[in-house]
Amino acid sequence: MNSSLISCIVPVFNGERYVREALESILAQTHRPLEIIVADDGSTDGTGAIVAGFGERVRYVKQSNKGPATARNLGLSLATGDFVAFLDSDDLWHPEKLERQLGRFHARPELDYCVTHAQNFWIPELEIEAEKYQNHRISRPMPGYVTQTLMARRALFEAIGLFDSALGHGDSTDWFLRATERGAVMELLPEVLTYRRLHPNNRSRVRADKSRDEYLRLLKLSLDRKRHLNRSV
Amino acid sequence: MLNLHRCFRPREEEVASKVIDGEAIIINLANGVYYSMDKVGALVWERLQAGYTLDDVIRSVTAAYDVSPEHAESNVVELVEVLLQENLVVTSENGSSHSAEVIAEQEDKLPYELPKLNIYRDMGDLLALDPPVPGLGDTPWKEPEDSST
Repeated sequence: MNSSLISCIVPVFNGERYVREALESILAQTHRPLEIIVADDGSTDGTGAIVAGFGERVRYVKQSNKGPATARNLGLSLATGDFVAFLDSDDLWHPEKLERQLGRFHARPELDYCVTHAQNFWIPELEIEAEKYQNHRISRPMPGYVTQTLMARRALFEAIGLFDSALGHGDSTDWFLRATERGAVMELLPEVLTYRRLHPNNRSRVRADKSRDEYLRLLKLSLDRKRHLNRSV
Repeated sequence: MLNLHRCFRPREEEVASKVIDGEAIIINLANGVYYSMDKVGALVWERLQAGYTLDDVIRSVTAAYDVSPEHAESNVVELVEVLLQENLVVTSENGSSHSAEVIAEQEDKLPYELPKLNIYRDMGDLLALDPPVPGLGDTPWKEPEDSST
């Protein structure tokens, strides 16, 4: 066992356009050793071939199309590092992301997981949208409670559980809510170490209405769990 | 004092809500603050959402719950003032009147409880990054207003 090995899990579905950049941003990390696992959620495009081009540096596994939560869980099931981190196939990391996060775990042995700030960026084709929103909150660094910024002790998933594969979009929010309810120790780094690419096919855009409903149900479930806990104490 | 003939509709560009098992769950997607209201509060929220005037919302409450009109009015007005403070509703001009045929008096009235907006600010950051904002045409985000939003 290597206490500084970080397993980097990349769920991907038809990500041929950006997956190379995502993987390169992992390989550009200043931290070593890394284990990179691409969990392909049933892509039908050239994703597999692009990932194969990275050779032995990247482990590639494929499942039938079951959604990103299941793909992340598949990656987790294969991870061997003491730490795990996730990057969506269309997003990017700052080269020092993992090094800075690992530094926090070394400084704070009680830390369970660490997230960073995230910065959205638009693809060139959406220049008009980017200009329109240049002063809007979505153009500014945001606290990144999303899997792309998350680095966690792998053991934490045994305590909190895996991502809920029944959720189409809110699986990460659900996980963060459960982690918070369980009192997991978290640190949010003030620096932007993750970049989220905005393009016409972002899941939050495509599934906006469904996601909204799912969010509200997650909040209701979270409230019910908290109230149940308070009653049973 | 709020005008009782006015409607106070949810600010739908950035406020998502749903009544689940009799509890209204409301989230302000701009800042991740979320809210819950049950019983009388949930009824009030449903009626505001449906475009009832404040007057008709109050009548809905007295029709369903064992409470005097004066008491219901003062509680509902107070609640709507909090909803306004929290930026969850906006005043809307065009109210539709929901008269007697819609607001039917119930025979067995429910025991009244003071409506209360529960506010949860603890998850703000957690819920703010990836707001699944309802479809607004080409872009899922609210039109920018100013740099302070």
